[in-house]
Amino acid sequence: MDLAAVYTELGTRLQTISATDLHVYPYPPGSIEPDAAILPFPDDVKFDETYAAGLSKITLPIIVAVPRPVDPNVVERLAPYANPSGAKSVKAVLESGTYTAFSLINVLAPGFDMVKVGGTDYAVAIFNAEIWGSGA
Amino acid sequence: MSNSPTHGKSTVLKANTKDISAWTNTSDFKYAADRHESTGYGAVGHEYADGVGLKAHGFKCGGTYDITATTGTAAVFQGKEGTMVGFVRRIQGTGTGKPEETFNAILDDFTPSSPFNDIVRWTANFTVSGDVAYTTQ
Repeated sequence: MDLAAVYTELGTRLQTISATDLHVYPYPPGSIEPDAAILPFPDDVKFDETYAAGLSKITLPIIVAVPRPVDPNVVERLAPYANPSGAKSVKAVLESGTYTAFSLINVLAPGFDMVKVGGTDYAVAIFNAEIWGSGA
Repeated sequence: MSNSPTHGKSTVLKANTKDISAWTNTSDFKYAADRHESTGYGAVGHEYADGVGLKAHGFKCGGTYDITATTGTAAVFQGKEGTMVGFVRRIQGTGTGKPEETFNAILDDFTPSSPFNDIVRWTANFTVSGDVAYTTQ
């Protein structure tokens, strides 16, 4: 798996959620414009999962950020991305994609937090994606 | 004193001429033999003849389930229970001067395992027929 190609394809796929509502950053950005989907550096990369370098695994966090909660609507705004199904579901959209840079993706249930990006606070859903592909 | 280990990632495994290395991550060859008892009257303990027990090797392997239609896991092992599989195992990998083991084995069981929270994996157990041929690549 070429890490850069994985990021490119995931970014392209995330962009299909909504070209206008969701800003996709397939890299660790210095600042963002919400709503934002961010692909920071991988948590873990494993080579040689089988003989002959046949399989590698990448564990990659995927962060969706919406403006810091100033009213109860923050849950309503974040939920469509965090839900397991729906047009804006990160899990559903990524797992239904067709990719050439890797073979399989599984998106785990998100955790939630408040984080600061570029000096601004955001409410975020943090997914972990397990990605398997060729070890070459 | 030196120590020159070899890494398991280099191992090559072929089943019926198909290279299954890319979806295999474990293989264990158990070298074994039957015991030929020669105990007679008056013995105080069991006695065994030296070097006459039949070889009784076992082999097992496993890995990640590959969905490739013609060379994947199912194509190679599924429905082959009870039949002979020809193996070539290169425990140090491929390269001039490295060892190669060739043997035939009956597929005793083939188990694809599908956990809800991980990729599908497989294991297979074999009984080796005859002995192993050791050659150098």
